[in-house]
Amino acid sequence: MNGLGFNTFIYLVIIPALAGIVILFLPKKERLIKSLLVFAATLFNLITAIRLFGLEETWHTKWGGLSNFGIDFALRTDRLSMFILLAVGAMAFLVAFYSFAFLRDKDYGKGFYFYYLITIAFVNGAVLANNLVLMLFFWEGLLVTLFGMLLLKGRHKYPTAVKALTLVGVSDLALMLGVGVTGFAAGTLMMDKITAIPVEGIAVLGFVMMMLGAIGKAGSMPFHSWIPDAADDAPLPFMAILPGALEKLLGIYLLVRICLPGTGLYEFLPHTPVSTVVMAIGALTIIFAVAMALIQKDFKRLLSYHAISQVGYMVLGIGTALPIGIVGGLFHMVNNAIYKSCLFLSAGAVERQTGTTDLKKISGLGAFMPVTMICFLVAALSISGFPPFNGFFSKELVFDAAMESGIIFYIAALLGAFMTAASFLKLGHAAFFGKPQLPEDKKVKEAPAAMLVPMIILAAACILFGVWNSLPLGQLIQPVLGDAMAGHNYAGWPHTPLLVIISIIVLILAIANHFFGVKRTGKGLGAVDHIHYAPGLHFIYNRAEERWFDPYEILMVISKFFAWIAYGIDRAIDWIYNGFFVWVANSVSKGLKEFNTGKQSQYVIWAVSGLLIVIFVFAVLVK
Amino acid sequence: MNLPILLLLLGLMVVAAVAAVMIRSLLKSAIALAALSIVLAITLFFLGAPLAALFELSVCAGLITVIFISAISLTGNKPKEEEEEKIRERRARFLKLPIFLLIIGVFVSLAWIANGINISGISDPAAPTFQTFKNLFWNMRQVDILGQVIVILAGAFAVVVLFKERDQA
Amino acid sequence: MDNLLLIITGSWIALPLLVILICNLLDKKTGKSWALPAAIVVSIGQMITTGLGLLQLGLTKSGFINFTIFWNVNDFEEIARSAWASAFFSVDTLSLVVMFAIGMVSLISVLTAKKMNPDKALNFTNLLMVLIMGMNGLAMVADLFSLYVFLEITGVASFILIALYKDKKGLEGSFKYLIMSAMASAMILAGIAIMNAVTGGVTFSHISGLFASGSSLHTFHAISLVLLVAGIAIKAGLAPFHGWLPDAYESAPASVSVLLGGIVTKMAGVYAILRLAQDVFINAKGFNYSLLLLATVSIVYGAVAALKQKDFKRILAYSSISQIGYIVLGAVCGSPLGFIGAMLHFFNHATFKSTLFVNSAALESQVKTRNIEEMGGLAKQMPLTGTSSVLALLSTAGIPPLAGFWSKLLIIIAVWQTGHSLIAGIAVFASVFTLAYFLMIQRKVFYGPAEEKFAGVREVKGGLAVSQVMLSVITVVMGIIFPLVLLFFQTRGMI
Repeated sequence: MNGLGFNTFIYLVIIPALAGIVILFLPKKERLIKSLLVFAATLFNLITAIRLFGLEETWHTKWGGLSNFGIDFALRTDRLSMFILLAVGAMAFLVAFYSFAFLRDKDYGKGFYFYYLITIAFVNGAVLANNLVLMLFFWEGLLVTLFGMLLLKGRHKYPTAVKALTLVGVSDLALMLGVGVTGFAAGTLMMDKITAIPVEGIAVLGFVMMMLGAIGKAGSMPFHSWIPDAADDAPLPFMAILPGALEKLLGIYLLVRICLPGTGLYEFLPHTPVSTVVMAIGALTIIFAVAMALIQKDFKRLLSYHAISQVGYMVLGIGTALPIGIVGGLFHMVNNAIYKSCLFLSAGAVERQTGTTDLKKISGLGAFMPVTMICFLVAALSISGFPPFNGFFSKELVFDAAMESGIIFYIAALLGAFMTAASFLKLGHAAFFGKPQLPEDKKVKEAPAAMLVPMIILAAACILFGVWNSLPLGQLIQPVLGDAMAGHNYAGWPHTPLLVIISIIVLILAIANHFFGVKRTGKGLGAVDHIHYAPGLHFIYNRAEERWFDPYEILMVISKFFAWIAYGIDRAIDWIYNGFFVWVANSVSKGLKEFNTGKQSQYVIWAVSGLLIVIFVFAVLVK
Repeated sequence: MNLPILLLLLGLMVVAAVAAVMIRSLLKSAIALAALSIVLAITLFFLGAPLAALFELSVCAGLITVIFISAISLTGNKPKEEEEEKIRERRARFLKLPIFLLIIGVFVSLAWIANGINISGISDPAAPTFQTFKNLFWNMRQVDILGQVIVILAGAFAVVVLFKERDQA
Repeated sequence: MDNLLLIITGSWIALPLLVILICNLLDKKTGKSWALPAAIVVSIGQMITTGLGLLQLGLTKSGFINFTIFWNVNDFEEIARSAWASAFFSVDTLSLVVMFAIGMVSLISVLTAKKMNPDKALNFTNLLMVLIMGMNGLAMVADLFSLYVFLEITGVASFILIALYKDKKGLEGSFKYLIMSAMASAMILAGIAIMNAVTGGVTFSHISGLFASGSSLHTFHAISLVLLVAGIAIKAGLAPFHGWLPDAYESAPASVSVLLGGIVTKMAGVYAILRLAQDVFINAKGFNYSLLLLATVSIVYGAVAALKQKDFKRILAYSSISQIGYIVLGAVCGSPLGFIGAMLHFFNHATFKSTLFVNSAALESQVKTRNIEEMGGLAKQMPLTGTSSVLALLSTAGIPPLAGFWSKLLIIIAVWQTGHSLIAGIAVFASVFTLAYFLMIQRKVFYGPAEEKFAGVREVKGGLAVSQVMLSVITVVMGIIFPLVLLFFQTRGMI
């Protein structure tokens, strides 16, 4: 392919990593050089991803003794990975551009850029890897950068970082196990050699574990609960790039790798128990995360819960194992990356300009930040599923697939859509409309251009991918499925009018609900209070806010219990060693010391007793 | 072996033994004991037990004496008056002992002779015969001879260290 | 070659004798000033000659060298076969290894004694020479009675050395040692007498021939063995015969306690056990079992009793009891591997215990106390002492790759292999215990919080420093080249 072989592949990993390492060695003050370096690296990354587009090639080398275990350094691109690489490149470039402005006066800029570039390198590597173990290597590397990024704001962010490390680590552990079992079941670790392992026997374990690894990275339940905490504690570009975009891209990439009909690692068929399990996880993620999002009173936290709930749609769509569902899931993934980043970026703009994201302190920002408001509105309408924005189309595809797989999943997805719309109506109303209210000074200006440009590009993409949805669907997504499409084309207006009508009714209901709520409480922020404080729900919400349902907290309680038992056992053993033995030894020794009075006669008596012992030994042996 | 020499040796032994008990200086007492051992060794040799004689010589005349000397030198001196008081007491108690021993010894000897027991015939016929005392002493046990030399050196140094310096101090 | 051999073998007795003659026959002043240097020459000479002797053994591939000391006897062969003859010395690998240790520890002792006043120096040298001759003789004899004679020489010389300064404590310790030693002598002598009476001979070869493997013990044999075991156990300081040992170690002057702890008591007791276990009573089961039991008791007792001690030297004394237990364990467990382990542990023990006694001397001279409760944080002021004592303590506790680890390992493996797994377990446990209390000492004395009153303390110089460095180097090097040492014994066919 004319010089585009391995060299280009590997540059996608090497160049960002190298740039990151160079940044680590640059002095802290060289802000411009660093920015330029990040800019160049991400731009290079994006251009390479574009150039690589259309290239389908595998490249692989054997090395020393490791080859005996099937761990080769093998890379490949196919339609799926090209598509993901392109999305990664675009998002990485835009967020990098944005962060130049956002991080200008932050002292952790250097560390952020370092981790950022390394993260991009690792994501590229994980997507490019053809060998499962190689992929695992990059995958685990991301855990390290995640941990590092969460600690950027200082040591006091430790609990959140540990929480993320634990949850993502558990899912990575599952993936590791899954990779092992998959390799065992398939007899090879090369992904292009593994196709459609039947999900039976040991392979069930392999499938479930790999699936857990994939959705764990994407931030689905039950590995989600670190994301809202990170929203409070991590720098905002981090939220936009990792939980907002890259992690979703990577997690869904692997999920599709596993589940893709025909060419996936496992034979994943519709209407099977495993499919139902995956869909159930998706549906539950949608419902619970969006329900939590509904009641949030903080811009970033609210968004972070949506970052979780949207994963539910993707998992639900792919979990149906129907072509329409997978196309819908992938499309939703791209759309989510676009509008969720845009939303996080607008949250960042608000945070930077007003100094807070607490919705109780700010309102009516639209007057001061009109561009931010418009970008926010476009993205919010997208995520809520208003036509003709991109979110509407991908959601409709997922609805279609869910309807076909089981009405219960459809209802769950619909409920999610209702609450999504309601929560964004509340958020938009509270933040940008209504009586202007600002934290301290009234001199809030529009965000700088470097922050606005990425937001505008993303908002434009929302509209573009909605109006011209045959571009992403036809060029990027449907080729991934290849023959499995069976001649279908899902581009254009949704094919099932009934579902569209229902969706629009739901949206109208959400608007009605909003006005009811606003009328009831008199302010935008209180638009969903009647749901929040409804009898029964109130109780559950309170518990949820107290993190009763946080799997991490439950895990911690369980592990604390085990730790308590282990501690008890350890103490007991320690007591035996440190307390009991020492006590015995000390008292014996003390006794001996007191016994050893220095009296000669006593020594003689001991010696005689020794003599008796010897005589006894001989007496026993002679007889 | 003729009886007079044996009796003479036995007599010497009694004298040495009594001296060891009666002499007031512990050091001289120890030397008397060594003399006793030497006489005993000679007696054993004449009675046909050269090995026993040799061992007696090594152990009692050599080692035990040195140990005694060391031991005595390690113990502190009692005040003169107290010491003399002790010795006087002891002398009074043991005055009759030599006479008693002598009478017993004479009686036992007479009894043996009267019963015709040949003293020289007591020796064990199975015991090894050595060509000469010289061979036994200088050749076969030469390691012990070396040992004796060193023991005597040790005794000498013990006296130097423990007595001489004490007198100086 | 024969002439060289004659010089080598002769030097082991002749050299000390020569020094005694020269120093005492010259005029007083010269004699006194020459005494310590002469002693150093003797010690180094002994290390060299024993090294050459080992080389000779390796070259000739023979197990031992026999030689007479005064003059050659004509019918050597006939006398050698006699059951009563003690006409010649005999050295084998064990003898040479322990004699090397004798030379080494003597050298250290003299270096430690450097500061003595001249009067003392002469007496010290005289007695040291007697002691060296006694111990060399002990290492070379091949006859029970001669063994006894040299045991006594060693004993007498050390009594006087302990009481060298004639302070109250020294006299007391010496006296206790003397009394216990006299008991031991009586038992050993009685044992030898009975042995002679029932077997008709006293040479090692004669007696060992009478203890055929598997045969049951004659009652008089048993009585004789009981007396010998008890007597030697007192000399060795095996629990519960050990009462005198801590007192003697504690009360002796610094340079003498190096000698006592490093080599004398080991020669008097442990070497005798090694020798008898290897050459004489190898098939006498009661001998092995009773000593195995006593050794185990010693290991545990020494380790436990050391815990509560406050005096540095007393701790070392109790640790010695424990280590003696290990050596005896290896010697009597009945496998060649264990014997090699015991021999090497003997040597290693001489190295590290000497180091520790030198450390104790250094501390005493600089800090003026031996009570570990009063010390603290001295490693900063005394880096050499601190480091060498850490090495020695770790070697004692058996931490790889130091010398003590290997020999202890060999012993424990051998004990395990011969089926005494319980005893091996106890030995391992006690070893861990040793480590624990030694680390405690480390922390307390060298690495604890620095005491202000020791701010002016300086590192030792001269002989003490040299000995610490030398011994530490030996400990480390011996640990590193240990596989080579084992290889040597393998080529000698001893394992």
